[in-house]
Amino acid sequence: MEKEVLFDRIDRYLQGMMEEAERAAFEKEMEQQPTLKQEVALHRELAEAVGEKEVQAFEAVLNKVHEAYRSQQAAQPAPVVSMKREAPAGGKGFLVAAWRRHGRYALAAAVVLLALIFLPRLIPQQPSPEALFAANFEPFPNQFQLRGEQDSLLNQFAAFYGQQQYSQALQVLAQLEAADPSLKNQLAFYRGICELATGNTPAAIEALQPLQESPLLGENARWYLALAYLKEGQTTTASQLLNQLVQEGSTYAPKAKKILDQL
Amino acid sequence: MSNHSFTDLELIEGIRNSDERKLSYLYQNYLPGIVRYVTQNSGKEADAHDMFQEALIVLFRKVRQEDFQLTASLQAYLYSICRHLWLKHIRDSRLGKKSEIQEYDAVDLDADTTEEITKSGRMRLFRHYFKLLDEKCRTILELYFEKIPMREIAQRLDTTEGYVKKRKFVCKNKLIEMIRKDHRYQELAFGEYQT
Repeated sequence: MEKEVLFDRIDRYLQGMMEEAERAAFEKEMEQQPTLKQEVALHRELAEAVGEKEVQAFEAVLNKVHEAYRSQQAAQPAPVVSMKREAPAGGKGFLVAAWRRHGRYALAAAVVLLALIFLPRLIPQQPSPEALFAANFEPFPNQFQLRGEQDSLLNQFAAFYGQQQYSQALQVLAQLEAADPSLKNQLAFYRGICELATGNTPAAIEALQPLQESPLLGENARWYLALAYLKEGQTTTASQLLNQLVQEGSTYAPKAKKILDQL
Repeated sequence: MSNHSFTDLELIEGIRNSDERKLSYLYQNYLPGIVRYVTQNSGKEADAHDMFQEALIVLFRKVRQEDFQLTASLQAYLYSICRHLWLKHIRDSRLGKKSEIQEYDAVDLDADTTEEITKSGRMRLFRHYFKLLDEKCRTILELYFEKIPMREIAQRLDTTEGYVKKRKFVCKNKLIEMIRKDHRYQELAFGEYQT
């Protein structure tokens, strides 16, 4: 009961609920009794500790950051960084000690290893035929002359082709091939481009091969055919076609020569 | 991990705003050194992690003070707080003699900071025990510490003022008894607490 009365007085003092005279008397009592003063300080700090919402929020963020740090550490343990003026004679951890003893050799070994991995990539090398294909392949611009709004299949094809949606464009092409035999060569050419773009190189070669001697499309067909052979790794066939383009003085000649130089 | 580095001023701002990216940077760059110091001086890695967190909370308290000024590098200041905490821990737990402690580049901490370190420790200890109280106790004390009138607390909890008053005493008494039993409380006591 005595304690309850004491707590009540402390609370009323801390909450500013005492009259002036009572407060003055209480403060005088505190000065005379260090234990009372300590008790008041404890009660004051209890309220402060529970009320410190900002610090608690900061603690919560720290816990989150710490957890993320620990997960990362568990995934990839790193050597401990020194913050001492001088390296001590002996450490407690085996790994730390080993790092100190063999650190420079380990570092040298790591440098050699990294060099072995990365150096070949830094030295200029001949690009692979496939890389040459990737560097040079660009879908041919759509040159179909649209024949009015009623020609919806051509419109659909043009839309898909323009948006580089080649799979859908191929589906429309199949319908067009069946519907309009007069467009056979042009459709085959665009089929070749679409097949190349979707990665179906054999189908592209099959579509483009018959067009090599076409007066209208031959030059374009040979260029894309050369790229298709490059992608397939058939460099000899690709080179023959590219040479032909160079000798003809084709619009593709500069590009063809550049590839030939790299092959 | 980002290779981006921050200036001390940016990091202090980051602590003040609880910026996760900058706090993460502090863990990545400064904690490994603390771990090494602690593990070389009779401690475990987990001790270093706890201490680092404690030091950051002390920093958070400090940087929010209007007159806060960094007199050394943030790294040196942070290390010095950790060193202070660890020396105190060693002393209190009698793990080793202070002379055996391997020293590193620490700066002398001012009295304000050492006081803040001790106070921060007490606050955490108090909160630790507060969380162990039952929910009703926590609610009543929390509302009371926010200076909500007893009558209103009773209304909110759908009970009588007399009950709230009684519970407030019981809960607070329980909390204080738990705290007093913890040896850390005596270690953290200073100034007004000193006997």
